[in-house]
Amino acid sequence: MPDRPITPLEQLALVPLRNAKSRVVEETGNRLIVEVEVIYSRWLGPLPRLLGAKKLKKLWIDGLALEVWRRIDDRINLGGLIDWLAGEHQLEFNEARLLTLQFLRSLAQKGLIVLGDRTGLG
Amino acid sequence: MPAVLSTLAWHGFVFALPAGWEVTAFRLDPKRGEFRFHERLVDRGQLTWVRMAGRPDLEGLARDIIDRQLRSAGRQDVGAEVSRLGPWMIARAGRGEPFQAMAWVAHDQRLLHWTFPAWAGDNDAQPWRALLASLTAEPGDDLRWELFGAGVRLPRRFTPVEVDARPGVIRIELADPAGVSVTTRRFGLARSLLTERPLQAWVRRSLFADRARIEQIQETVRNGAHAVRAAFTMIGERTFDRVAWRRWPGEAWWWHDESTNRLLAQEQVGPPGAPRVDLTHA
Repeated sequence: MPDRPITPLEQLALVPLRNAKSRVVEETGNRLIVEVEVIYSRWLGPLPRLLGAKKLKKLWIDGLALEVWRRIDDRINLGGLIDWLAGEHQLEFNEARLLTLQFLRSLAQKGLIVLGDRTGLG
Repeated sequence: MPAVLSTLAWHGFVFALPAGWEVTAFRLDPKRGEFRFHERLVDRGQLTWVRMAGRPDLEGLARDIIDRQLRSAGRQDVGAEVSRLGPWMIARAGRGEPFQAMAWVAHDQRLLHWTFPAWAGDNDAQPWRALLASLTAEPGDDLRWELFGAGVRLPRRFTPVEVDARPGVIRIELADPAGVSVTTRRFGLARSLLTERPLQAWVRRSLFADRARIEQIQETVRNGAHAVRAAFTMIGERTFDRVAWRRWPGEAWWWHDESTNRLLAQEQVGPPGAPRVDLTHA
């Protein structure tokens, strides 16, 4: 990744990658429960382990977040995801772009995805 | 996605935006405001409006802007070519250079000024030609206000109070001197929203969030679309009304526009006795 701030055009080429350690524990037509590892802050040191804090957390995904999650296949890039959302829901491009970024940010905060640069990988 | 034409109507001027053009930034000062436009990530132009005491010298102004642009870019051989297109004065320097279009709306004492990023010829295929030709400036008693797909037609006494634009959720509030406030809303992703809960439940949630008390609510039809109409009251905005807990009556119309996959809403609330707008056709 470049040191300078990423441009919106470069942003469109980024590929959302699913957390390989996430595990689907329940799936229905309109809801998904995914289990991911809990990451504790480093400054907590061994405290979580000593206190027996939980190592896994379950996350519910439904509604539009589920639609976005299902489209993330480690190949589709951000631009493709935005075009799909705009076409599927009759949104303007930039409206769909901001919504997609919001969803991806929320999925990333939950530890379900990261945004990767696959430029040059083919 | 099939790009559709959208309308921009503000302070009495109305444009049909070329397909795919979106407003991406705005400054809504009534005396001096602006909109910026993008098509996907490409800058397409900027519209500025300025209230002025009298008609300016459009040609001199346009030439001056172009000359200053060229000088600031280090060019010595400055000089703009000027042409007319309907009410528009168009000033350009050369191919690939930014160019200007200006028009004077006399009844409103308002200068409209477009800046486009690059001159690429003067043929009919250029989107700016259709855009400029689409200008209508309404001198009538009613004005159309429309931005981001949320619109309403109101008497001229109404002026914008607030625009809250978030992705998929737009709210524009206008008010008149008597304290009557009209709010128009537009929600994207309507089918997803209505899968989650019915339209009436969304109306109830919205009014609850605005601290309104629903007096009556009914399912109805508006322009052939499923709609919900509600009568409500809420504590008045004025100091005395707040202290005395005097409630102002209001009404809300929400409907589902299936063709655009949007939920649209119009609401009005104001002091008892103040003249209201007929929202059934606004």
